[in-house]
Amino acid sequence: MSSFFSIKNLTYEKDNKTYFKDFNLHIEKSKFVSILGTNKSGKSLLTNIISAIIPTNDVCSLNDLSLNSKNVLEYLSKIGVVTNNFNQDFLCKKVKDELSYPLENLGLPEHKINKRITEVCKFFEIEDLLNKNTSDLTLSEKKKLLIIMGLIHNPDILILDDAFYGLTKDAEEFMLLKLQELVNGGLTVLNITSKLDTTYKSSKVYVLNNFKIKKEGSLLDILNNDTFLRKIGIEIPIVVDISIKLKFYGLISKIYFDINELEGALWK
Amino acid sequence: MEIKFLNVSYKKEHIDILKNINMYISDNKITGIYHDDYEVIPNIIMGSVDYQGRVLIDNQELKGKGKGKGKSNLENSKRIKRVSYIKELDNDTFLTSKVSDEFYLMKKSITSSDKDYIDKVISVLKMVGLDNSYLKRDINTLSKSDKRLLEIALNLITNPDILIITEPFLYLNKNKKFNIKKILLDLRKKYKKTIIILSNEINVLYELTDNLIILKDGQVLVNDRTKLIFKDYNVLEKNQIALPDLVLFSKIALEYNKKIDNYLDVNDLIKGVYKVASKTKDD
Repeated sequence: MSSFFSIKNLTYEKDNKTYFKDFNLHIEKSKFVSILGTNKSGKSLLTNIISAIIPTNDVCSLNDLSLNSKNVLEYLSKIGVVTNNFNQDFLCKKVKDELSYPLENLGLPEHKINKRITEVCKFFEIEDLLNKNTSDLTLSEKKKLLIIMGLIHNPDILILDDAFYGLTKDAEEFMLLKLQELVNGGLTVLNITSKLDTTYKSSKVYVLNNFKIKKEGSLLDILNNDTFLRKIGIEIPIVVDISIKLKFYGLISKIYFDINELEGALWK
Repeated sequence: MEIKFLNVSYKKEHIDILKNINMYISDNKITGIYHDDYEVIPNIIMGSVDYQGRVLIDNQELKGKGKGKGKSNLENSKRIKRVSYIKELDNDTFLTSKVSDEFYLMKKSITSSDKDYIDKVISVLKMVGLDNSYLKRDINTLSKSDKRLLEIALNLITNPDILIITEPFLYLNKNKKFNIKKILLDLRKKYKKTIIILSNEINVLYELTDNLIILKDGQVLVNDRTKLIFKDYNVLEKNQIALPDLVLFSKIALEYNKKIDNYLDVNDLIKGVYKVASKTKDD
């Protein structure tokens, strides 16, 4: 397997406590991959390491670039990170300025900035938000804008740390669909999450618990052992939960993620 | 405490957010509010924004910000003790960096001896599932879910009559959600509190609330018992409001001529489905 993004032999210790030990992860280009874990499983620490907030040397590599103290800026220009950290409020009053800000920092000329903003807004259908104040956005709009901000500089890989919290169900589905379109066009997405319903379209799912990968495979493989997921505190979405239980009683033969397909099979 | 909104209008940046609405929030019930703008209803109840119309709490009129000074029977200070508002976490949620200091600040609004206060602090922390050791913690080192639980604990210690909470399950895992659900149900049942839940998660509102108010385009679309709203959901569908998964299941089953009740719990639904499926087999 050719690895586009990788973490090699990550060991992280702090205050005499070992968090990650010999942790490895390899992700192929143009894939949507999820790491599923509950609170305190190590998700945010992993995001901080990948996004170079916690410095490491030659542990993370993106394409041919191995992250170390000398190339942090180059590395950061190629990744997009969206965290669920509420301390990271927006910097600008207007949505439009918020979107321009990172591009201005990259030194792009105004016409290129405007072109990029127009393109992104059209793609994510947020033209109506452009002239709004960031403080007037609804929670769901704010969360949507944060994900778009992670993509504004056109990174090679997008790292999402519980980025779907606070989105309405419709907005979540819309954003997942749009991200899938970008993945088909070459983007790589690493969705680090506690929400199982954001992993449906993943080509591969890893289950992180206590700083270790405990399971990996397709989501269906992982769901075949739902007892494990329940034990570590992962919430099973209602439709999947119904599906697992009906399958147990022999009323359907497989697990469904879509309620229409589930009932189609059940009542046929 | 019951809350009435009478002909209330509210504008933000010249946009009508509420258009002459009338709504009723019952005493001793959990009322859900489904609205794009999370903050407007709590801000009106807390008296922190200007609005047109009247808002009554137990038939006493509230004064909005700068509205009819001195006319209201409810003073601001009293109102703070009566109403607690648990918002989404933001930069202003905590004023200090230590858990114990946050509780110290809250003590000003409560009259009790130091010893009683410490007992109260320990008991609210326990209630939300945090132990005493958290008192010594630096808030910046807490996980998002622990910050959220701390925020809830800080709001419970004032023993409010009305508790307003935005997205009660945000950031919480399954076990912690269960705990918060239990607290909300206990507050309503044992302590007779009025609870208002603001959420855009229709599954959460279906699971937790006795009554539901859905606001759309600045108007009240429905204001009724949650069960009744989801029994006759035509108006919701017309207005593109998503149905809870368990209600949607019954609706789709009906398209296959199968009658499945609106259950509140997946296990009850499975039993219902099993019954219907076995009957179909026998037929």
